[in-house]
Amino acid sequence: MKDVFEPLREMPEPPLRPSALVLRAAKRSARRRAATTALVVLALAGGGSLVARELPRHPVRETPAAQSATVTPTPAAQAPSLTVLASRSGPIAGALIRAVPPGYRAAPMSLEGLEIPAAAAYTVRTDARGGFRAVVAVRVRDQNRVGVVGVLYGTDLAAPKDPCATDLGLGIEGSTISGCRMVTVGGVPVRVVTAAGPGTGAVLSATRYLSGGYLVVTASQGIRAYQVAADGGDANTWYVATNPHNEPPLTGLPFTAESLAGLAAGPTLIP
Amino acid sequence: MSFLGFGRRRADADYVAYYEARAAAVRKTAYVLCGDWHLAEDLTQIAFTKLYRAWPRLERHEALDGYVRQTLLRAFLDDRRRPWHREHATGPGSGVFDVPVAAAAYSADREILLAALNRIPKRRRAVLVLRYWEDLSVEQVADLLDCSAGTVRSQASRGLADLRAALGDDLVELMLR
Repeated sequence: MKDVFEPLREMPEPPLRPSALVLRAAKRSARRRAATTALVVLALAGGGSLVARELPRHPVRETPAAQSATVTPTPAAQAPSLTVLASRSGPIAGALIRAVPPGYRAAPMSLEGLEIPAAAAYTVRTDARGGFRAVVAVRVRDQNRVGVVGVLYGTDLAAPKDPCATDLGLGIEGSTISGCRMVTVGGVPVRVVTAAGPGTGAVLSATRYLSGGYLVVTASQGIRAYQVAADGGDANTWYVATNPHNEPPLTGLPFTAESLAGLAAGPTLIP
Repeated sequence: MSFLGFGRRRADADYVAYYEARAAAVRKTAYVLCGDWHLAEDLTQIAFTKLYRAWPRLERHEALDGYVRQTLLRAFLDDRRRPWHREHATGPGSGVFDVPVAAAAYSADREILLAALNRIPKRRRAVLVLRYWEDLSVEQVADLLDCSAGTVRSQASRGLADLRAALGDDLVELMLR
């Protein structure tokens, strides 16, 4: 039967599209995808020795992990919708920037890790039920050193009975988790996870469960050169260059666990 | 500015080298599937665009070939439902398909065969092309089409029957040449 196809094997062909053109089209397509559907694993966090300028406005009480087994969602705060996030990304980024301690420069950041003129909330994933994850990120700079602080909003996960037993990598995927504890700020329980990763250095996340969702404030000492991103459309995986210029990490985290928990528990990140 | 992890120069160079080595064969398979050079070029572009995104996790050469073949096939089977034909890049130098092939280069055999293939339902045609043009095993075709080996055998059998019906006496002549 193979013989039937023989006449086609020696057929003349038109010239191939030049490789440069194909490469350019592939890059353009990848950029478009990255801007609209990428699930970017922004490894962010805090936890250095610097004193936060916007320290928690409420007294901070650390809850021993052994006593933190059960946390219920905070009924007072509702998880924001995508529409609200899209329209309020500027104030959210502003709140993050104001929370960065003195001595740093901070600016809104795109998913590719670059500073951008206007803050944007990126929808990074939606699930079949309409649950979403969206992120607003701020690049923190100290001369030529860079880190990140960001906030991830999601409605795709329910509050667990034991926050330190599940989804510890939320918002800091790819990092190696080293600890989890509950911190209560003004009556709001916040899960604080400490972690580290190659390129990111120290990483910290502060998760606050809301009614119908959650928010995770994350900070990292550095920005990984490339972050894994998943394409929800056809389950491909690729990488986003979040630190395309390979700038070195900050010398320390600009946030402590308490200051990051205070930011998560406060009102400024609830649009 | 690079957006992708393999946006490093070396990775781009490898990607371009792979394209230059394999694109002609991929496009030819696409042409046998669809019978149209423009469409074949677009299907090839789709396959290589997806390959670009997947490049960091495809380390082995066999994996590259398999990935491209699979994405090409999916694009071919999905083309009625997707706007891919509106998305491909155009620009200076992209109009190379307007270069006519010399009339003398056409052969009656090819015309007959392509016309017959195009009368076969797409999925059966895909099975025939994968089995007898790409020379893949029943199991490999089943894997690519995400179906059972039995389905591949029955589709191949029906596809051959379709081809015989479409070619008529020409089939014998094609086999003898």
